[in-house]
Amino acid sequence: MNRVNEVRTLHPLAWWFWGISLAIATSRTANVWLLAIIITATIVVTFARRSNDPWAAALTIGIKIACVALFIRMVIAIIFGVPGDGRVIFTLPRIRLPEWLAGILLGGDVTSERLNFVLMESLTIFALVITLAGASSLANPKQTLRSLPGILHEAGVALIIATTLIPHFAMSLKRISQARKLRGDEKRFSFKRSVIPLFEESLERALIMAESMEARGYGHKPDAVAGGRKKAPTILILIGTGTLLFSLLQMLIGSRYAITLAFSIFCLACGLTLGNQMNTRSKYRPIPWRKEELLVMVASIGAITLAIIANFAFNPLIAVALLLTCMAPLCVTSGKAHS
Amino acid sequence: MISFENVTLIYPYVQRTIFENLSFDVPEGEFVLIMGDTGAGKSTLLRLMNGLVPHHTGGIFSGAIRIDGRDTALQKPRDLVDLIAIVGQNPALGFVTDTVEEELVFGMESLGIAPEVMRKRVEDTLDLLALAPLRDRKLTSLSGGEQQRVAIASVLTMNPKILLLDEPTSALDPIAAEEVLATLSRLVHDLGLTVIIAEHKLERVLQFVDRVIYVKDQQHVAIGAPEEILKDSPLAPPIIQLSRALKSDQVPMTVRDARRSISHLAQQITPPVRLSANPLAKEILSISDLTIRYGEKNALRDVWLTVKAGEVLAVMGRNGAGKSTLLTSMIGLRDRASGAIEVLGKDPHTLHGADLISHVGFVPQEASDLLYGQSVLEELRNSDRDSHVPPGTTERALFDLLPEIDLTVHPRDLSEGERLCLVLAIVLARKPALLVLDEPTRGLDYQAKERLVAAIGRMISDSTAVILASHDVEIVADVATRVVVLADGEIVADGEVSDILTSSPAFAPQVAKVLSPARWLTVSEVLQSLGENK
Repeated sequence: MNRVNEVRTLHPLAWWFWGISLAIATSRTANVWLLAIIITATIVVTFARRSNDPWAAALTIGIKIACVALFIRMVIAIIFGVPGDGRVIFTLPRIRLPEWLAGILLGGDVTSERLNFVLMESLTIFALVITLAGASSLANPKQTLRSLPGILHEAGVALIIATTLIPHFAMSLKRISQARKLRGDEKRFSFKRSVIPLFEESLERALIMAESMEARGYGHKPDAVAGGRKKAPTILILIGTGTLLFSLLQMLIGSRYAITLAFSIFCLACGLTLGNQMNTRSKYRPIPWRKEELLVMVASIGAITLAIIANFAFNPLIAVALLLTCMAPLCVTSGKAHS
Repeated sequence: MISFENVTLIYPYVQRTIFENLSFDVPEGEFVLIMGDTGAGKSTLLRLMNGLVPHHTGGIFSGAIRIDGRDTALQKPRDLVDLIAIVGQNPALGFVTDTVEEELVFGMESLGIAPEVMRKRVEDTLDLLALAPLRDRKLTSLSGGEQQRVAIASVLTMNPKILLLDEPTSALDPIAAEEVLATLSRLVHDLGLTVIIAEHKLERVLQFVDRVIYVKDQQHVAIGAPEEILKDSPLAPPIIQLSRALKSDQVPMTVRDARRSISHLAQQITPPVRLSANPLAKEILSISDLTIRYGEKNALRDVWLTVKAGEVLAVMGRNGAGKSTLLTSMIGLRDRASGAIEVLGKDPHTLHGADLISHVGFVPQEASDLLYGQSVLEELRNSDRDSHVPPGTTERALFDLLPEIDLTVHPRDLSEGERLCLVLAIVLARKPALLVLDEPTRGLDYQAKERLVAAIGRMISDSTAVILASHDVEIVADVATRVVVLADGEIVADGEVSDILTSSPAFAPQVAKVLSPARWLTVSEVLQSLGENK
């Protein structure tokens, strides 16, 4: 094998592990410098290693969205006044609102404390968006779905099909509008003449697709597996997902979430393992999980730990270490990530 | 291998019996053709074999179908995939993934075949169908013939013993069709596969098949050797029609058979002189120096073309040579990089609505694209309104083409040929000076083609012209007066139909191949000359 020209990239799930870990790290820190380090590291790694595929644009889009969100948040923070103490930077003229909007203040004093707080808060959101967008522009979405455990495969196929249908949908729309032109129809839009044919065509396409999948063994189950036992993992996964959502809610409103989170992870893990044992599908050319992936995992967990430690005792050494752990994928990959 | 025992199929909602008491057997390792008019039930018969009908479509089914001893009523199609596989009419719509290699493994992964076996089979199948250079390509970037081959490969990886194909060559140019059929024939001879195909273009497939199933109607399904079935069937490819016209009792299957057995019978008669277009006729279409780009690629390059009144111009060439681009540019649907197009002195880009359709009538590749009404009658009324013609005009045009049509049915329930007639009636209602047809014969049986030929004959006059793009050399030989051959977006040949069609083997109609070097093109010419001789 020619080692020199080969492009080394990571397993898509390793990219996601890295991205999600950095996202967790951002949510665990309240230090502008650490956030800036994580954002910079994500952007550098992603731009250095992303491919030319369409999903690689995710980060660019993510940056745009995050900038807009940051801007809007700042504008709102300035316009809507919140009474409070602090050093006043400037004062906007106060606008009187009708009686029924009492409690909302437009204009007024803008304090530096408030601006600082809002900037910090929006920077965290900014970093969250960037880290997740970075992972999605590095990991090939189809390969990600393919490398999910077998039991999630059916959901994955549904997603893949949905993504291939979008361009078809656009093509159908174009064809229908051309057809209307060819019939001399001069009206700009007509429900009956644009939307009904589109639905008819999509339905027909879906039926053909379903038939083709059926004729190619999709959903085929050997006799041994077919039966009631199949339901247990599905139920476990459903319970797991439900409690996971609940624990996220608890996390947001600030109550204790550790027990529910642990329970949901336990349910999900049991469901997935059980389901995988029953899974009869096989995988063609699975992407290997090598020591590079392990290294990135360790580094990502390290980044979370460092972010938590820095909350208690911040010093420049930790910042440097964080930068290094965040940049770990850069060392073990080469060239542009390839599909 | 396949056995039908008293099979009856009824679709309850349309109250139609599709098959009644059908019984036959297909032995292993045969290449079988299913022929019949459109709507006779060829596709249904194919899908009965692997259980998609009635498992997937519903319907009342009685009798028994056994595939290698397994009953299709007891097993779902997905559980029969290791035995019988089907490739649908339009393979591109059935693709589940987006690259060639992934498409090949989709079925195997569902079956849970071991990774090492999968790896080996993918390589074998890629070699078998000559797809190795395409393995990483996106499915949407493939040509029609390549897509068809990928669709075949994607079911072959599951190692079926029987392969069913629904009109595998209808969308392909003659060369790509030949390639697909030769591949199928190789699978039958090398791997002992049983291949069953439904096909309209008999002239393309007959030479390969061992057995023919002729679906006449619900009661009559004949099965037998090709010679036996085609001896007196109303459906026959041009060589057999030629043999009948020459009063020979031979039933030639291949051009070689026909040259040996019947070509001497036509030595005494002389081909008729084809009328060439009147050089003084009015110019209907003029294209000068047209270039159209898609991104970096030139779809058309420096095309010059004029079409005069009374001409029927056929545009031929490989899939992807630029035929559709050229045709759609005539109605102003393409952005030009340079050049000019004029229809009766007007640029179609500047025309809109009723004004546009009185200049150019366009029938797209999927004729049903133009239909959106809930019944034929509604379509006719819409058409009268859109074209600003007195009510009833479109209806009259339709009855000219198709006297016995039920106006209350939904356009989707019409047969392919009937739908084309409806679209033609709508397009012709406004009496366009130029009629443009993109692949009009796709999926049409011989009867429907005859109707199309008659319709073109009736519409052509000293103030109108017709342009059609087609892969079907037989229809081009029948209607065209002039042929333009496109390759890579350039016009590589332009001339009289008899010159172009007899000059290259790929484009020669069967009659020309049998009777060369004499310049015959169609059976009707032979019949006409025979009539004159008597």
